[in-house]
Amino acid sequence: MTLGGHFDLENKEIRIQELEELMTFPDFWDDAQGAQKVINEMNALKSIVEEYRALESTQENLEMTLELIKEMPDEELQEDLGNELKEFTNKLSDFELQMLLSEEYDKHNAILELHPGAGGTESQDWGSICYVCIKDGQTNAALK
Amino acid sequence: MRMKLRKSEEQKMIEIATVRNELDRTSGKLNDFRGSL
Repeated sequence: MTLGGHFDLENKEIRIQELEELMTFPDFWDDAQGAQKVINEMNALKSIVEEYRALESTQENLEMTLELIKEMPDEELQEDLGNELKEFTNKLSDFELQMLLSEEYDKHNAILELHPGAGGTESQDWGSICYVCIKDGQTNAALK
Repeated sequence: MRMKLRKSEEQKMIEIATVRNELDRTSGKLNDFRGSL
């Protein structure tokens, strides 16, 4: 899956620098609302970049552990690696979803209508299945 | 006994290869994130 437009690390880092520079201006706090907007934007960007960097660092650690196991086999370490890898892939999926839902209006509520249309009871069943899938999907933290 | 040991070694090698594949996949994903415009 491509995340075109949703994640551009370098541009985000540049933007953080710009915002930090903006905050050093003596008149920055004169406009409290504007200042708050800048701080909110910076915090949001920092959170994304830091999370990405943390994932990158975990990837490197897991790679190093794998190399170590290849050189000096250790069953316990191999088991740990398997568990950490599972946890890492889950975090990566959560991050991906978070990135897909990071646009301006993605935090807002939405109204969803399901119309089974023609097809009688089978169509209604299908509509119910869709509803359950969507309802269950909402339990995912990123969709709340 | 020897057979059992060999199977266990094979199992370990399979597990290592599985981890390698998964790490290649996650690495590709991280690169995709970074490179997306």
